[in-house]
Amino acid sequence: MYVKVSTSLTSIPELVEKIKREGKNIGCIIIFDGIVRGISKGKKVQKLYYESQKNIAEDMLKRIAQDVIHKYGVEDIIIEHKIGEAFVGDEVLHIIVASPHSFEAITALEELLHRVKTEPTIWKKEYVEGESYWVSTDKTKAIRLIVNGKEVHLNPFVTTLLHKTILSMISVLRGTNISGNERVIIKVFKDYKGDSSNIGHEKIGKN
Amino acid sequence: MPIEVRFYAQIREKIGIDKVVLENCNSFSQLLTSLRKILGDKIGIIFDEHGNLDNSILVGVNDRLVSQNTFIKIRFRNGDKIDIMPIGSGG
Repeated sequence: MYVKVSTSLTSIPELVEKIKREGKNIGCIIIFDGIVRGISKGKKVQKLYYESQKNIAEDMLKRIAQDVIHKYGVEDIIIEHKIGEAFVGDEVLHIIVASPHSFEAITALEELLHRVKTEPTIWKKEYVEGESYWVSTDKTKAIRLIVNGKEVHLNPFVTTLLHKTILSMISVLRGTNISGNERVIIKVFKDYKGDSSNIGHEKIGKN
Repeated sequence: MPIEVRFYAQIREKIGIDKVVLENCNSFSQLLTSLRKILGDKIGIIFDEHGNLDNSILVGVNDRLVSQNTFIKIRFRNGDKIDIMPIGSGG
């Protein structure tokens, strides 16, 4: 595990080489390369400025990486976050996840991205045409429903309903311990035909 | 017993001060009293009307993040560095 908060980032190829060199059971490497967008909220971006309490931020990044490694069983994680000025096209965030299997790596990356944007003591100021502002953290959504790649807007009532219903359903499954603040990912695939052998077995078992 | 209090990002810009050195300040209540004198009405950017830290504030002591519950009980020591910070917005 390696984290860095700095005015300059290591190149992606170097980071990939580092994580491969130090890993023992790597089946895949997932790379996230965060880049300054040209447009923000419809306005042309001039630059970003990242400020940080560096020591605390690096400490928090380490804890996030340790937590995610433990939770998903991935092999290793590298996180580098830029501070100072950054211009359109500049790389500002590198996250590398090495794992024996792809599903864990992709899921781990998703959680890392969310947490890196909200937890460490790093703050982003956007300079766009005619104004500048500190970016405030989006409130975490309790539920995100994505159907065929498109996010479905959920009002507060439906959000609460789905959140509580899904956690309640999961809580009755053997081996789960739901306290209410879990991060749960459910993916429903269209090409699933059902596992008839299990269904048959279940019927036989009950009869 | 001087301590240094540092402010970051939008908090620093709103209050117009990046850091202050406070003498004779060894508890949360003394910190609140001192900052009230210095910041005047702008104290509301950090504390609510009851003198509690705003929920959105993160606090560090000597480069370590501490919870608000822990922070209000800490006895400050000579040379301590207190960081008053907003919630992160990196990425």
